[in-house]
Amino acid sequence: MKRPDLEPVLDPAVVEFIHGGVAVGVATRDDDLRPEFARAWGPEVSADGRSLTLCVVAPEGSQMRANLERNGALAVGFSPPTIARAVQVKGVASQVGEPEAGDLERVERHVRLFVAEAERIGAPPELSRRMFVGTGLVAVGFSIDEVFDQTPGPTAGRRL
Amino acid sequence: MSELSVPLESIGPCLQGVLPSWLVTCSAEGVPNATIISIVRYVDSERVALTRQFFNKTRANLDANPQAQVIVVDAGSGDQFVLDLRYLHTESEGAIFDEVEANLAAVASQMGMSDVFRLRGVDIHRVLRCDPFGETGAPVEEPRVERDALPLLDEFIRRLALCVDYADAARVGLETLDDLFGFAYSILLTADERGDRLFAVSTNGYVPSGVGAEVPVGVGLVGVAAERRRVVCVPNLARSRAMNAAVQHSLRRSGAEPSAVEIELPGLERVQSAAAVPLLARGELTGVLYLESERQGEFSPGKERLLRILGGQLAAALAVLEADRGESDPDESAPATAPQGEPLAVAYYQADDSVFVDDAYVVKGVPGRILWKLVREHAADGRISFSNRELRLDENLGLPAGNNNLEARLLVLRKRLAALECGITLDRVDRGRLSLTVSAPLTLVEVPTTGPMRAAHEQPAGG
Repeated sequence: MKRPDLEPVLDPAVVEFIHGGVAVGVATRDDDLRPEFARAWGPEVSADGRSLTLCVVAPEGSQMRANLERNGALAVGFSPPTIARAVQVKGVASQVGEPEAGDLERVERHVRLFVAEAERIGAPPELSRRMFVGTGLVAVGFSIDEVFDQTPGPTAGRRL
Repeated sequence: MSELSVPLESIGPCLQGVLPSWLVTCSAEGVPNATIISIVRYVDSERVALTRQFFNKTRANLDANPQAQVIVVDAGSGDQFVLDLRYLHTESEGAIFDEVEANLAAVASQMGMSDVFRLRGVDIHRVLRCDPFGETGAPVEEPRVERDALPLLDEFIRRLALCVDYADAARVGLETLDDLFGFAYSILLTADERGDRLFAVSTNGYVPSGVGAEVPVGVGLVGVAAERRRVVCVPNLARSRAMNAAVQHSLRRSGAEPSAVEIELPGLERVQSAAAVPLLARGELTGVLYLESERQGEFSPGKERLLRILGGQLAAALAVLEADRGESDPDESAPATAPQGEPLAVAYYQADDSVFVDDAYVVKGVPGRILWKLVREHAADGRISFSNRELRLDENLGLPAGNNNLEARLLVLRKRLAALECGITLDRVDRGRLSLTVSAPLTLVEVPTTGPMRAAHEQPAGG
């Protein structure tokens, strides 16, 4: 039984970071514990800082889609193109469904921010735009069970 | 033979660590983990090496469950590939470790972060699957650098062989790297006699040239390449700098103090990638060839071998010409006319053998001692002609036995004088013969030292 008062709450600085031009990577796994990666876009932290929604590239028939639907265990990493900082949140998907208009607006905004951020370190926009695949997006929602600071250095892996 | 649908050899640009790679693992309890790593390196047709630095959770997961997946990106095209991996073992010594470690150490030193970027090991993974990811199509085979390089190498060696002296080879070598291989920005450094420093003797593409700049062995890309005697390629310097800021930040939060390192060398403002190639002759380090580019990924693993060959040729040519002792005697004829006009003030500081002309710093160390000798003798009797041989034999100059560096030292001195336009020039007029030109009379001031170098300047008793 989960106790909401014991679950992590993302502080505003972390939320701002997650809502910026960061690259978002999702890890799931199958029944044999084989990890699977997908990119995700348009992350949004809930107002209370306890849950997250984002659009994962998980087309029908893909391993990512199967993993999300079968067990839902996921880790989501956030890191700017400079990889100067990184945060990871973990949880179990409670919603997997078609993205709505609001989700897709957030995806578009996120792609713009990401491309701009990548351009700051010299990555041409046409190159970083290739990271985005707009088909097969699935809206995934989950409550945050764990948060980690993965910024390179001695504190990497620290629980926030 | 590899069974992979996309051979690793065909995605070489992805395996350089130019762009960050996502690595995902899963714990024995079924909790996935997503992290970013900087280096995924090609080992052979079936294996890759991943750096093990800070990734504590990844490490625990791999020990419990060796399955992993990594996404690699070609910085040039944006092509992405997914690799399913099985963790085999971790190496903390050996050829792969040494290569990755030298690279990482070089970047860390460049950024002044040597204490943080310690490579714990390289994780060797078997690649079970390699496929295009996202909207990437099947890869186009990378151009075969090595085959295409043969005619260029042939021409490089031919041009070097035509060089008549050390200075010529130092110049032609760098210009030819630009002409033939497109390495437009290069610095040739020579190891000094004590083996703990390198000094720039020739550069190409930089203004000012930076000749005379020194780099301690072990510091920065150049210093680490010298210390480890390994080619160091850094495909993405811009990201390294950003990474440095991150680590500094992380260090401060954990209560540690960042270390301070500075390097004085000419450098591209918009440098994106760089390589440092150790030069070896007779089994010893003789210098470093340093290359910079404004393009990401310019110095790829495919070019490492080429750089080693180029460095080897350049080192051999320079060693032969430095050792060329076919030296003539100085021309004894006095100058036709003594220079007139406002005197040039030449000051020599014993403390570090530095020489200033009209308050402008010229050079220090061995080249400083050489210059001081030349101007003193010129001031005494108007002499303008000198020979390499007399410099080699002059014990007051303190050149070490065998002094294999005299040509390099003279080259630095000549270039510094020419660049300063200070009224004094030194020209090579023949094999082993030098001509000093002064535009005005000289007034000399020797500033003694009371510091640790004092004994070196005292006249021997009973002299």
